[in-house]
Amino acid sequence: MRENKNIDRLFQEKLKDFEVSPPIKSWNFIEKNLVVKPPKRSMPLWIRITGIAAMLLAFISLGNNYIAPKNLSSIQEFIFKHKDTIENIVKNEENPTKKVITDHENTLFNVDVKVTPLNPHFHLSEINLDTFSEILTETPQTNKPTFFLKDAHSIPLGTETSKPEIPKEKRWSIAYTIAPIYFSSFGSGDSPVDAQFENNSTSGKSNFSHGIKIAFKLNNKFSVQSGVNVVDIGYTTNNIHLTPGVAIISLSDISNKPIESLKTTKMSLGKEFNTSQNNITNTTGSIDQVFGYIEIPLEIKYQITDGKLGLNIVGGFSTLFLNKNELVIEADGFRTSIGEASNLKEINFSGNIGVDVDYLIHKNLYINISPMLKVQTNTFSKSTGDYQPYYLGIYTGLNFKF
Amino acid sequence: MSLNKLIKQCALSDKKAQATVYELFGSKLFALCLKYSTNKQEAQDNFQDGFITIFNKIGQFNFKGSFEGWMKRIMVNTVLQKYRKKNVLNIVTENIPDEVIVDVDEDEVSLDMLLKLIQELPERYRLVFNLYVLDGHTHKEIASFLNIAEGTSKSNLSRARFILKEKVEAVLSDQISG
Repeated sequence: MRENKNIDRLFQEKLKDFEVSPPIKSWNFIEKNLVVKPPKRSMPLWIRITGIAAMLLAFISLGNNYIAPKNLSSIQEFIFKHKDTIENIVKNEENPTKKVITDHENTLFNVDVKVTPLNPHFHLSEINLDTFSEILTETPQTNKPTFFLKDAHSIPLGTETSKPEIPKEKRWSIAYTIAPIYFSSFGSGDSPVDAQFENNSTSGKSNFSHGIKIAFKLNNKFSVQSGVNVVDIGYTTNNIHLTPGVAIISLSDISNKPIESLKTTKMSLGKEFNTSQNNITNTTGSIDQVFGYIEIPLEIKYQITDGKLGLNIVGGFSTLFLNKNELVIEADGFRTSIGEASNLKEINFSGNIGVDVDYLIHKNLYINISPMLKVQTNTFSKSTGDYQPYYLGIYTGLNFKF
Repeated sequence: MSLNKLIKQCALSDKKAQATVYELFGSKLFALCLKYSTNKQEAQDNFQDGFITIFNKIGQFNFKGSFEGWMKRIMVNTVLQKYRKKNVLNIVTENIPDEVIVDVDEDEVSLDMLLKLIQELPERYRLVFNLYVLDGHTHKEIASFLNIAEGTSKSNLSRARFILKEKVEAVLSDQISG
């Protein structure tokens, strides 16, 4: 039946919700063109960091190996110095191939690249610059310049295929090292001795480490080194108030086993003592905590510059075995042991980083100075403050290569 | 499997989930493309391109509104992008009455016929008519989609209605006389 209808309505009613199956080949097309996302693999952070570090090292070592070999630059220097003489010689020569060399040193090298070396085993390091000088000072009319040019042509620059024979290098070295050590801690500087001294200031004491270091050269750039060190470190907890008394207060982190029991004085310890309210004399002193370790480091050394004076970066870690542990009270001229700390761990570790400068004093003998920062982890099994000890040492050693 | 789970699987490029979504919504979206395009071939191209975009961007769906609505928007956008690329000339604004009435017997007009009439509309008229009449957008929205003035959208709509009325009536009179 005909009726007057709004055109919008007509279309809406018929077309609003209609459906048409798409052509079958559409799905194939869509499927083919979908970007397949690879499943996300979360890479542990340490792998990423190590990867970046390895790449950086690779770049540095490549750069050092391929930029400006020393022998080449010395020859360039030589040629630059004697430029005029070389030009004179060449000008007097009639052989056209040698005339190419007239301009300057760069041309000389360009020509050399094209010429097949007369002697394939000839190496840059074998060029005797003195001989060159001698030849150059002689009259250019003689036959000798020709000889010089022949030899110059035989410099196997760029196209060198044969490698020079390197004398067998001594890869091992052993050293006795000695180092003053400064011990301190990161963070709040709280004392780890006992909870009641949590807010007392602490200070590091200068101490000492010595030992044997053995190193093995892996390649031109990397060495691995280890050894054994005896480390004595300690720190002082300041502003301890002590009064003579009848009983020893038990400190949670100190066992009541005085090392030198005969010397033990009975006394009480406290971080604060109000003297105005009683007449008992009290003394201000400090607690020295001394501990020692046998340290076994394992470090990698990376050479930045070589030569007589070499610069290296050292990084690694150490395992530390506790071999000394004592707490001593010091006040008004007396010192007495009060026991050993029970919160020091038998084994702990340190992360080490530093630089190493070595100086060759004889063929197989060199000295090295190496400032190192060693940050300790799990030094204390429990401690009151956020105590992260570290020590700085300037390791000086006498090294012997073998 | 719930729709939300299906969408998440699609975001992980799960082929099976993608095929299921296509099965569920393919017909609706293809019909949408037919209305917005000039012919079946163009509709198919738009449909395929739009669906590829849907699967590539499915990870961005935030599960807040209707998924079907989200897909439709992508499809319409695909068409509109092509329209913008073509840079169709603006048509001069004309004043034509709002309501257009057609004298018709509904049984005489088929869906195919109406679809064909829409497809035959000039590009901009077709888009405005679809957006306003069939998909419920306002002139303000249409103006921003097509980068035209609101007045232009209104006049385009009126022109579209007028053309459609004439064509419907012409077809019907052909049918009667034929």
